[in-house]
Amino acid sequence: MRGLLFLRLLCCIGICCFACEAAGIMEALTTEKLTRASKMVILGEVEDLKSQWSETGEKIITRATVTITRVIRGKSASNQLIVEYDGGEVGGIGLKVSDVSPLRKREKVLLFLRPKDADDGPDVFNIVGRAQGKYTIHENGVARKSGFVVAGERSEIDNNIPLEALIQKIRAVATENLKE
Amino acid sequence: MAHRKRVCRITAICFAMIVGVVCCFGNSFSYEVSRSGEGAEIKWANPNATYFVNPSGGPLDSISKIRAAAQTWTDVGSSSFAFAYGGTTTSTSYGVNDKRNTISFGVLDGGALAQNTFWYLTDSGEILDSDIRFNTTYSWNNTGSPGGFDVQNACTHELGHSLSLDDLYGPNDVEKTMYGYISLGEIKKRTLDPDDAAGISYLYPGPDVEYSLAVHVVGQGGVTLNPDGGVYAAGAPVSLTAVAEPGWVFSAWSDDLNGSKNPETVTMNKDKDITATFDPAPQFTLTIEAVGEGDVGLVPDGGIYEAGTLVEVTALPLPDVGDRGIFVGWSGDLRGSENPTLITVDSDKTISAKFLEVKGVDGRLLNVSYVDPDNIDTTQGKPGSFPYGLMEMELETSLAGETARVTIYLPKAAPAGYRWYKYTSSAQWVDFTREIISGGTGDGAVFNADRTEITLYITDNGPYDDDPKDGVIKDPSGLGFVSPDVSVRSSSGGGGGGGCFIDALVQ
Repeated sequence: MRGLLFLRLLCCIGICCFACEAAGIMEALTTEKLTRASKMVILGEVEDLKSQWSETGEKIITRATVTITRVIRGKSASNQLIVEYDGGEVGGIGLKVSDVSPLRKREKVLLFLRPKDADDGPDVFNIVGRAQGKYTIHENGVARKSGFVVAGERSEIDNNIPLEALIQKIRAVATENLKE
Repeated sequence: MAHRKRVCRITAICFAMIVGVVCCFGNSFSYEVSRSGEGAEIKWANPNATYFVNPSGGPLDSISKIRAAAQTWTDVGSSSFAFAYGGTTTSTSYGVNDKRNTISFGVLDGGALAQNTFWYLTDSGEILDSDIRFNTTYSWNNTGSPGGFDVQNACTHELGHSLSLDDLYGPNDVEKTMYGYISLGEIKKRTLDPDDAAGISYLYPGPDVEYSLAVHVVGQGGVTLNPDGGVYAAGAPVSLTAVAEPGWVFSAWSDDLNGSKNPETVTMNKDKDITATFDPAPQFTLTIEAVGEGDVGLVPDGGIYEAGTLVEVTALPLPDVGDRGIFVGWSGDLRGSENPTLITVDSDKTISAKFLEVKGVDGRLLNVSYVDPDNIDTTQGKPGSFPYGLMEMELETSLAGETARVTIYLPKAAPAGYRWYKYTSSAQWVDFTREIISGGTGDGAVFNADRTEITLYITDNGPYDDDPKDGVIKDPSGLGFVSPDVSVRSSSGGGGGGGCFIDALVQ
């Protein structure tokens, strides 16, 4: 009986974890596609979040400071980088974008990144594939992503995957990419 | 007419059983609602939203399919929400907070097939604007054919986001419109699952919807509901007041209400179970110690009190002790000499009431009173402290110029080094030891052998009598103590004024 209750509790927690973000409908991006589209793939922890109005004043963006704990693909001159994404809350107004999975303070993440643009400096990045390019690393070592609706074959994407297995896949693609 | 109030009392065992059932099988997991960073549920302030459609770039007949998707949500009978079609627009604005909800077709980056944005107020959660865009990079149709994505199918899902419903991913969510996966040719999201309908009904309940409020109690106390009843129209505010039984205090709300504010108001937007927890009130002990011949009365009596109880304490010198007993002050967790006085029992406390016994031997003791030493400002030669405070006496002699003799009985022997001190207006503070004052034959103070008694000799109209009347010696004696930093000075004589100090010999 206790085991059954525990399973129900796990289900509830799982549903809550998945369901906290609005999601857009997205084309499924495989690990290979994400890796190839990335300049850098890192493992890190979200240190700080700051939301602000975009330069045009038409939307709110959030800049997250991420401390890098491991570079899986690419090179980084610093142990921190900035990740920018749409949405956030500023001055009493909030914006949610459906296929963005917001970062959370102290969240441990694996991110597929591409440089935003030169004007923002070398350390400002966007997440490739928006919500699909962000894995949350759970304490049990499982990498999980959420916050999007996959159109097409969902088995194409790696989700609920052990972190080390995911890293091996990324490195295999990156190595192959170098050979090409 | 005053509302009749209901007090609910249910045992802790019942509470535990009910909460367990709600957590596992309650309907709160069948849909999910977006929240702001401040925790407010994100939703439209009024149960309606007007949308405009820019069909440019979409398949033929997209307007009717989009309208059909909106109507699907509007048709939920248990919800008051209605999407209103505002007509077509040529605006290509997307994701901009222009208070105009637009559904359009266009290019989206990041691999999104369709995207929804909404603006909201972070404190109230009120939605200000919501736009939907279908990415024309992909193939769309209005037939459900497997060669593309069905507009109505995807739009019904995206409009769910516009209502503030989140995606669901559980194995039991597959048939729901808010399920987080969509496929080519899929049309099942065109129709709502009962849980989708429950979601919109939760956010925007219909006028006939009622919700129940079940209150549970842990500990000893009750909860008053205003208005009474337990079943309320959707959206109705209900005030809950936790009322603790004597000896108990309200601790906190739990389940569908958190915090410890009391009273608290909830809005009935779903069936709610709320538990009020009461804890035994902390009790503290008030310990009384009477030092000397006296007693202390307590109102209320008992000595053990709930936290914060105000207790009146009264020092009562024993009436049959000597000529006069005198209460000289409080010590411990109560200071001063006010009598009776009040003390708040907010922790375990110990207070001492100090009494001295005064007996007139030669002469008649008219009056004895306690004086706060701080009332004498003169600091020259003043002893460092007066734990017992200051005592004044008034004596009457039979004849003018007679010497009165008064004995003060101490509750405990005065340690070596303690002496009588006396204040005079001319001599200031003086050591009143008889040997010093008069060479041991006239005025002054003398301890007995075991230093439990002090006998004072004061001559009417002499240098230490402050009362000019013949036969009356006012304020002639006192008990003080020697402080190491106070030099002992002999009297310079010169009349009246003064007081005597009562030493804290029994600390």
